Amino acid sequence: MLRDLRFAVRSLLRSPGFTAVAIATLALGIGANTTIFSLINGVLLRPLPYHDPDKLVALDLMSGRSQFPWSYPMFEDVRRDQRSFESVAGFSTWSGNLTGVENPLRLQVELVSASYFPMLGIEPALGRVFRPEEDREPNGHPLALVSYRLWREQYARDPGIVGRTIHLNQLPYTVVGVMPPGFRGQTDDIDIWIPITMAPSFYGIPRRLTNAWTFWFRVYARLKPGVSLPQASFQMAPLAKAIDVAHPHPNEMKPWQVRANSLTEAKTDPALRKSLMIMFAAVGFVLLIACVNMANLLMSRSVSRQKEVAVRLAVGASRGALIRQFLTESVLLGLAGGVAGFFVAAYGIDLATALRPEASGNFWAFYSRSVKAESVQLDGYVLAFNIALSILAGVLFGLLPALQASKLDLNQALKNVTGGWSAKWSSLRRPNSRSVLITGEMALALVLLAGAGLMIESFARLLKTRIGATTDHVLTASVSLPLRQYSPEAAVRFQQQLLGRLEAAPGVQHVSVSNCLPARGDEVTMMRTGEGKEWAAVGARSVSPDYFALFHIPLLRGRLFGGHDQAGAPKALLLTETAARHLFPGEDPIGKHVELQIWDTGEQVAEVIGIVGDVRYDGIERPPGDDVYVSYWQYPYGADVAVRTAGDPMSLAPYVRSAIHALDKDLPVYGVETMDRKLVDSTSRLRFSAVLLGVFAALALLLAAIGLYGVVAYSVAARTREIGIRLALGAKREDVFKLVVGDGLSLCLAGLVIGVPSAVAATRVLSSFLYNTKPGDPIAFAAVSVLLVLVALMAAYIPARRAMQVDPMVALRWE
Amino acid sequence: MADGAVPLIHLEGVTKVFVTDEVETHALAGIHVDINKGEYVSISGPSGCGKSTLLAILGLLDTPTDGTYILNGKPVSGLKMQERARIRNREIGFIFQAFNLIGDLTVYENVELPLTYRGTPGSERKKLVHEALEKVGMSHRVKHYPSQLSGGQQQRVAVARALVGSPSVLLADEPTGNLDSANGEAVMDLMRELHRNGATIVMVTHDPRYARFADRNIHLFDGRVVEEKMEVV
Repeated sequence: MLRDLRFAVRSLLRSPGFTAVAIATLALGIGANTTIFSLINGVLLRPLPYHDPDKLVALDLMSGRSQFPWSYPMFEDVRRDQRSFESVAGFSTWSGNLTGVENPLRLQVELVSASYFPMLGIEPALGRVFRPEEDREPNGHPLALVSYRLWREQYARDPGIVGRTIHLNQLPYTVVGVMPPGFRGQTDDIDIWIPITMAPSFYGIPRRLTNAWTFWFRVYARLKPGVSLPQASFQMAPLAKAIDVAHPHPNEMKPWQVRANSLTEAKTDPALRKSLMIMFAAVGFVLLIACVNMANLLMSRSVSRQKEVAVRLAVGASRGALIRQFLTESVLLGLAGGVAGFFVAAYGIDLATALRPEASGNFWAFYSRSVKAESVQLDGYVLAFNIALSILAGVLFGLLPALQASKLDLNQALKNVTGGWSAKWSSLRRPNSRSVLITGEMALALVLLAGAGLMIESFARLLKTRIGATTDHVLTASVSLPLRQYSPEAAVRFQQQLLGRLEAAPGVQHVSVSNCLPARGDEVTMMRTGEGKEWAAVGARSVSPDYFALFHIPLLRGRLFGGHDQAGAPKALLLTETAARHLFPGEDPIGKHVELQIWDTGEQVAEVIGIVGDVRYDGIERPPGDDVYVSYWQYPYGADVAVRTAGDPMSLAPYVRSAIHALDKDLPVYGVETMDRKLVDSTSRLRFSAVLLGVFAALALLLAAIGLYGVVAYSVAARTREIGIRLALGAKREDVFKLVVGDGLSLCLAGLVIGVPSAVAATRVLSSFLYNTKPGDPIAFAAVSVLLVLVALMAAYIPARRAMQVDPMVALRWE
Repeated sequence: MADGAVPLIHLEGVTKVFVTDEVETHALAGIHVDINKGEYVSISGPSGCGKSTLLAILGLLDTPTDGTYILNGKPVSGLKMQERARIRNREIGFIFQAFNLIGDLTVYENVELPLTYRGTPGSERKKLVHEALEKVGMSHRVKHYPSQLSGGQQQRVAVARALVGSPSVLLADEPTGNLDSANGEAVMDLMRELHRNGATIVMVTHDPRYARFADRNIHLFDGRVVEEKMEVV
């Protein structure tokens, strides 16, 4: 074995060109696989970083098939009455302003039950966590824990942080501890933890802990020893019934259920999982193509080693020994490719994490594990995968050449008579190992190209989608006004002053403040069109008057908000075209009154004053929903400032910051970027799949082209004599060109014949990722088929040109 | 050569010089040869005397460095590659020592090949291929591949391929070189039969037994014609 290895090393070093091409080919294939595996490892496979994570469950509140966050009273009922869990903890994530530091910061805050940290098994790096008695009394214990990152970056690792007071949303909190490095809560971006019972003052909503119909947080629990997940789920049924009894719903609604899910499962975004699995299949194809190229390379190489093999057989080597020798070389090549692939994967991971898809927009996805640089790393598992794959690839691409090489006709080879391997493998006209392999390679490449083509077509269509608003030359920034410090009246005053300052800036055309931006709105409220009518969920957009002019949203009927739609005046409401059609079918809504349950302000009546054009708020991919606009001056909720400029919007960013800080130096300004940039972010999920699949398909196409080139070039070299004969018999140069290109093309077409139906079947799995594109889309299939044929023509062109130069004299010289 | 007749092949002062690494090799040094229609000419001489080079020039596989080559009344030494290919296809039939059949093609397809390059319609091709194979006694093997035939059978197929386009001249380069004596005799008999039926044959051979089959023998040495004699049958 050691001798085989030594010989393999020597043999590979003797052919540096071959070895370099082989390692590069494998590095691409194995590197792509290692990249995707590291994503899967980081997002799906790695155990949750908590104590005994298999015992942790997520408790989901369900009504029919709809999943709800928990309300505090319902949570308290379950926590009190359950018997299956050692502990139950609730948590919620929101952002808050940290002031009293050099630059005010907008940070993510997690509100948690005291049992949260012991349940997860997370110990503080410094100080202590919250005590059970500290999460009983509403607003009773303004305590905080800070992340290691915040402690390091803002407090220079000062051990005196414990006991110090920090200001969050202008409220003082006493720091009791620092969390360990790497722990960033359930959304992986938390910097401050406070007791969940501080919610009323933190959110500025007094009824946060007492309203059973305000759903705002998630619940985790740890199973008692000896209790299984199905048992716990079973024991949840009576608790759900008790919720129904204790909190009867005013409207028709399906009974509550409480579902216990494994936490690992609950923290997996199904869309991301599916996307990663598709990527894994795609890179598997890339590696298969690389292996086919390698097998062809090795077969070409073994022709030049016929004599060596013949001598080995002549001196008594068994077939098994020869196969072992050949396999040792291929596995060694595989491992070398694996090492190079590991470095390729380092770049691949950078690309994947840079492209990381945003959470899919629903409440739960934010708590899922996502593609983040912190969790996606080249760790021991990835290394083990890389090594195993390298060995597997080595065996895969080495086996066929090894078997063929060991079947050499010894007599012919020793006499150096042609007609052994080379004659057998040079022909592309009749099926042989090479032509079958290359046909398969073409088919695989087509499947990948078709998948990527569909994704890219979807992405292009998504980018072309008209969202109903004009977003160029718009700068956006967010400024969140702490409710404790800013009453609604003070908030209106602040925003009016701010808009006044921004309007005065040179080059500014329009300014607005709102709780939403096009393609970036997620506020939903309940509305009904009259007494006794059904409540319907509508998108609630609170905007200042200039919002419509700023985004070029057309007024279709009625009027827009004016200066008189202020607090105290009758509430005014605008409907989008879709909302008007759905909520007032066959009626003229202008002048009608609707009832709103808006943002804890209770039920209120508003008059419909106009209808405006539709805007896609729920992401670019989703069609416009039922959206209503209220006047920001009457409902001062939201923090999104938008400015339309004549020139480069980013040049106004410093001015916007200074205008805000001139009004209140303690307000953090965040999310300062152009509206176009924000739109790009909202296409990140499709972009993630389209770019990665596109890269893999391009890789597959490149490898397939190299493979086809290699086979056709080898065939031309081995058929020099045949070409000479044809020329001697009167073939013209173009006849030879057509012959060689035709051979390459016939392999490609055979690949298409197999690849197109395979791709039609395979791309069905992509259907849930596609936008306005069907899996079997004929345009995409035609485009990728033409692309493959063009690439095949290019790959065959060079060998065909070479074949045209063959001297017909070879027909005589080979006598 | 009959008095007043225009020769089928007229070579005048044909030379061929190969230049490699500043060394000039004179493969042919002023060849003057006329070959008439219907003649059977053998070219012989020791290894390296220029036999194959002469055959390559006669077959338009190579061009002379100097001199004139007139084939069927037309000067061909200065023709472009494309035109040479066309004349090769129509005027010349090759029979090679190693048969040079294409392994991927059946017997039928091998014989059909020159007609394919000529653009002959399919039905006519079929007729001509069958006639050619009939002549060489191989019509029962049309679907076989060369590897399924004996050496003698392969050479007969090669002769059929050379004949199929009714060329002006058959150029044979050591046609028996890869055959045993029985098969060699059979091929020579076949060529004699073709000659009797009017074919013009130029054959390179170093075997005096087969050279005697020809009407005339041209002996080369160091790229020159050193002897030319008529055979008496």
